[in-house]
This record gives sequence, C-alpha cells and structure tokens, in this order.
Amino acid sequence: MNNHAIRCDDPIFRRIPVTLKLYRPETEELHAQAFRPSPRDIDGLSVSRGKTDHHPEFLSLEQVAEVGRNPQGYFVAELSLISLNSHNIQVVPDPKDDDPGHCLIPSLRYQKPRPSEMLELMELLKQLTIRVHGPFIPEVSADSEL
Amino acid sequence: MATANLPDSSYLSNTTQTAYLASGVSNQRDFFMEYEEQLKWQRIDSQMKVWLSHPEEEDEDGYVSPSLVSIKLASQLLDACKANSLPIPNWVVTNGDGGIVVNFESRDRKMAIEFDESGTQELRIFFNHRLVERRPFDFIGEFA
Repeated sequence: MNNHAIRCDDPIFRRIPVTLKLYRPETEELHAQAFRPSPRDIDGLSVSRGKTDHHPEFLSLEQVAEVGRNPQGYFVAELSLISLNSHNIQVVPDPKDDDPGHCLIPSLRYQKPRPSEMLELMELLKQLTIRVHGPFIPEVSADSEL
Repeated sequence: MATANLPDSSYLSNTTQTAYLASGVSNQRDFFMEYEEQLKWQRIDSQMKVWLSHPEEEDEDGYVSPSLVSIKLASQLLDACKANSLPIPNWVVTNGDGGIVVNFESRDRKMAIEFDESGTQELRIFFNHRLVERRPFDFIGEFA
C-alpha cells in the first residue's frame, strides 16, 4: 500500500446535499437515501477520509462540504472506518486533486435495478452514521452578487 | 414535540376524567395533534409542489428530481392516505433518479414504497436494516 493506505481510525465523511432534504436537524433523523449512489457513481459511492494527525493533507468536515458544487450547501455525515470494517464494507482510495482523501465504496456503485444487498447496505450505513454535521452553506461571493 | 408533555387521561377515574376533560387539556392535546398533522402534510405538499415545478432536473451532484409520472403516482398515494385517514408518511423523498420514495416507519420496522421515473412501483419492508420483503406493488389494487 502507498501513503494513501487506509487506517482503521480514519473518519469517513459523506456529503448530503441540503436540497434533497434527507436530514432533519431538528430531530436528527437521517434517511437511507443519503447513501444512494447517483448515476455518476459508476465505480462506487463517493466518500472522503477526514483530516487526521496521520493525514493532515486530507480535508476537514467544512472543506469536504466546500468541495461540493451545490450552491445550497451540504450536510456531512460522519462514519468511522472501524465500524465499516467490522461490517466488511470495503472502502478504497480514489484520490482527487481537490480531495486527496476521496474514497469509493465499490459495493454501492450505481446499478438498475438495485440489488437487495445494496438497499440493505444503504440502511446499514444510515445506522452506522455517528452524527451529521452542518449544514455548510457556501458564502455568496461578491462577484456572484453583482 | 408539542404533545409530548401532555398527560394521558385514560388512567383517571371517571370523576377526575370528567374534570380533566372540562379543563380543556384533552381538547388542547387534540388541537396539538391536529396541528402537528397539518404541519406534516404541509411539508409533504410543499415538497411535491417544488418537484412539480422542476421535474427531471439534474443537480450539481448528478441527482435527478422526480419525473411527472412518479409525482402523479405518489400524489395519488398521498391523496389516498389523506382520504382514508391512513398514517402520515414519515418521509417523502426523491430517489435521486427521477423517482420518489414514500416511507412509513414504526420503531425498527420501515415500509418503503418507491415509484421510479417510469411509474414502476415497488414495496419494501425492512426490519432494522434487513430487507424482509420486496415485491412489485400496485397501490390502487392494494387500496381497492
């Protein structure tokens, strides 16, 4: 493994667009659709390893949200790689220029029709979510207001 | 929740219950429950209107908003729930692929009815995260 080898204590972040209304901050309820792959997720569901002492180059919660392009912003679900490993959920590195900690969950790649295992895995990830942070809403730049 | 702190009057004696009812507290609870139900329906109806005004639009993350077909079918299911005083869905969300998922949840059980972008319907029942039932669904037939 290279220097992107995954450590068990890595936090795993998943961006959830605010516009999809899949999280209710007032009751802390999360919907399993937050872990549904989009048609673009042909190789697996996008997640990010979070910044740690071992990997200071990875992104913080806020930075993971900022990488997203939705102007309405994102919630960020936090999971633990330990818990994913304990359920044999594979997470593979897929570094990007703007997110060096970017990873994929290959068992959640976009498929139609969706296998039952995928539907169960989405429910499981919801249950394994430690907490949901945000919303992180991008500041409107001066240029965009003109 | 507005109703959480209001007492249940069923354990009271008849005399006390009469006084309790006369106090208007019970009516107050009915009012709060009704108000809460109205808010839930308003939230759902508002979401359906947003989708109706922007069907099948792809967002920045590649998620596609519900199609007119899925909106129409889901609306029929929701109308049937209202007309038959069935439980209010806990969630009505996009499936991100042109469809809609309607959830009814009770503790560790969850029923999901999904209308895909072409109108195909599927019923799924989960116990915790385990899928215990999955089958094609025809809600008009189910409600008939």
